Amino acid sequence: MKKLHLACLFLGTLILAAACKRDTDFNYYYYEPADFALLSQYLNLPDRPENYQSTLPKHLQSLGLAARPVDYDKATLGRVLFYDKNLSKDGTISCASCHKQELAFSDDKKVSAGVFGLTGDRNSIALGSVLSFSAYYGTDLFGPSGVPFFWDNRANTAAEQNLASMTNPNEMGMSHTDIVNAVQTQPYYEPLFRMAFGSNQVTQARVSEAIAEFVNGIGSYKSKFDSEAEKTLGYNTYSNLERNNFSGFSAAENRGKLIYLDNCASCHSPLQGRPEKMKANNGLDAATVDAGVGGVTNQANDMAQFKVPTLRNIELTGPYMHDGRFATLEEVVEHYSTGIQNHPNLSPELKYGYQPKKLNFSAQDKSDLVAFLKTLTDQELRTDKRYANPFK
Amino acid sequence: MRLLPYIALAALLLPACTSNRFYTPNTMQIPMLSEKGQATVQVGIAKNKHNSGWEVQGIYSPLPHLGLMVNHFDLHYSGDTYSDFSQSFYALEYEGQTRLTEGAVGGYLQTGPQKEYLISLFGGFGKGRTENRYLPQPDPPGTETFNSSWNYQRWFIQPALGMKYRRFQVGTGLRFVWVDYLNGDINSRVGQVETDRIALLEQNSPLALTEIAWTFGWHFRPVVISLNSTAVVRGKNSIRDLNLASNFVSLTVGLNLHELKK
Ligand code: HEC
Ligand code: HEC
Repeated sequence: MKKLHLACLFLGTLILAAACKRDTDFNYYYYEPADFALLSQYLNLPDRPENYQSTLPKHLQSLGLAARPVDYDKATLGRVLFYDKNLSKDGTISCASCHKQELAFSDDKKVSAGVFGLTGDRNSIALGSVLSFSAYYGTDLFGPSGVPFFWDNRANTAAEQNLASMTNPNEMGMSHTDIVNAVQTQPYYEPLFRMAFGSNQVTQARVSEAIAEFVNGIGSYKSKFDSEAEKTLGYNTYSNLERNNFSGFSAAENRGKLIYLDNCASCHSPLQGRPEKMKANNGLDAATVDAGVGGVTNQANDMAQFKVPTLRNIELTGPYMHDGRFATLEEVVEHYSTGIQNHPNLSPELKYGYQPKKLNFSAQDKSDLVAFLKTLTDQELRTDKRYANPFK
Repeated sequence: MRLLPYIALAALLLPACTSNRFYTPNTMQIPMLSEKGQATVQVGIAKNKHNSGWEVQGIYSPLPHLGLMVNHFDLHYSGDTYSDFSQSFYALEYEGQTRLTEGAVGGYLQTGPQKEYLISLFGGFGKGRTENRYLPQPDPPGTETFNSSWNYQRWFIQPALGMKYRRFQVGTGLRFVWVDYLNGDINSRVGQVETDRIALLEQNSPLALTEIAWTFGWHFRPVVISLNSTAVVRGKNSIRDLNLASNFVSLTVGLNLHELKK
């Protein structure tokens, strides 16, 4: 009997103990605790990488655009490099000095100041469009049909582009070995490289690859225009539905949209996807001042041809044109209205026969067009913490 | 009956488990006690492509109808699965180890026309630890290993039926187990898919599992050689994705201490 009691007692306690459930407490970590402690001394990084993958709105997908797959570890490393002033010869300039997030990654200077106060002669280009074009945009995924980088289209890949910026004496002024040394001396790169590449070996190619990954992960596709276009068109981008009034647009914005579609979309693209033309001359000067694409190709008919820039976030990215000659959108519109010059390479879209078009917008047209251009602003991009300065 | 050893060998070569990294049952010890003072110690091994383990198990009856049991289990395993990273999937190889030590108390009864049936009911508790290592990716070449580890405890109740017939000693049993995962450290760099699986363990802890076991032994006094199999037959629907249904086969050599004295 005694043993039976014993056994019952034991079983009883067993069941009781099983009933009082102990909470499981798993600690999920991404960075090894020592690595994260080190990173946290210098950087405000989340305890696991942000998701840099984008899903483009339907109308952009329907144009064949797709967000390129982004490696989050590389993008995180790229983000740190993008904001790191140690990557410049005098330690004062980072990519972000000329590509400011609140300005959709452009600069408000006519020409940006680089190391030692030097300046180049071209206006900084906003980066928020990169992703929306990324299916074609200088990635090797789609080969040479990509949209090239720079005002003169001289770089074919994002990696080639950022190397050019780092080594440009007027921008960051670094040599290849300078880049590697600058990165190696910063303790926070050791874990970041290990995470991104599986080993902490620093090479110029890896630096460029990581920055490119970050830049390719910057996507601007959440403007008012995008949400309205997605609502009105969905995947149907073949029926000129964009000419219909967008219900969320004001009357001025809808009128401006039609003016845009009639006069500007043949180059800048109707839905703010990939530009219709890779290069054009929009009649800024009658004679060649900056050779643009011609300076790279040495072809007479490329002289003063320039990249057709994205108009996404255009409200934020002034001053405008490759040399930053126009301070406001009103000046730009005035240029297209009355100021087009008859350069020998002036693009046919802006010509009547042999003469430059005078679009002769009315005052109403101009303000409508500007109102429309302002619908291309993506406010989220300006404050998206995934793209923000990570340095403490 | 001549065929049995071959069947046994074949069973040993079966792929033992699918999700050995989350939970693998140890060999269920099926008591063959019939009277006070009996004691058996057995050592087991399990070896196949993905598993290699050893076990020590003991049982002793200090009083009539009362038994005490201890089990220790140490398993090394490997395997492959898949996970994802930055939206792309990849194959994932891992290796790991789990250890479990447990004790149980229970009662037994001898019955049947020739007293050949041995009925028993045991309840027990044990503690264990699992350590998994996910190996570096071959492509693109990685150098990093991602670790995850956790402590767990396990409660169980096992009704069993044994039978002795000449040189044969066969048994079967059910084991109701509650696997309670305690604290763990999980490197989530292993990817979302695998991290989600582990989170599923955490959310469903304690896992209530039913296991079924059988043993087939040859008795050459004082030694018993047995082939054992223990399989998880049912878990909650919510953990189906974990693929826990695993079958653990072992070969044990036991020594009946009470038969030594004679
Ligand atoms: C000193 C200012 C400055 C710095 C620093 C700078 N940039 Fe730029 N960036 C520019 C200017 C100016 C242009 C246009 C130059 C041209 O086309 O010749 C440009 C163009 C670009 C473009 C081309 C965009 C397009 O659509 O064609 C990208 C991408 C870019 N920069 C990224 C970077 C990255 C990444 C870094 C850091 C490694 C960086 N920039 C550093 C001023 C700067
Ligand atoms: C022939 C093709 C073409 C057409 C048509 C055209 N543009 Fe442009 N646009 C360009 C090119 C090329 C540039 C860059 C020129 C440069 O900087 O040298 C540009 C630059 C701009 C810029 C400045 C972008 C920046 O980031 O600095 C704005 C704004 C602009 N265009 C708006 C318009 C509007 C509004 C219309 C219609 C009224 C229009 N464009 C029609 C080709 C065109």
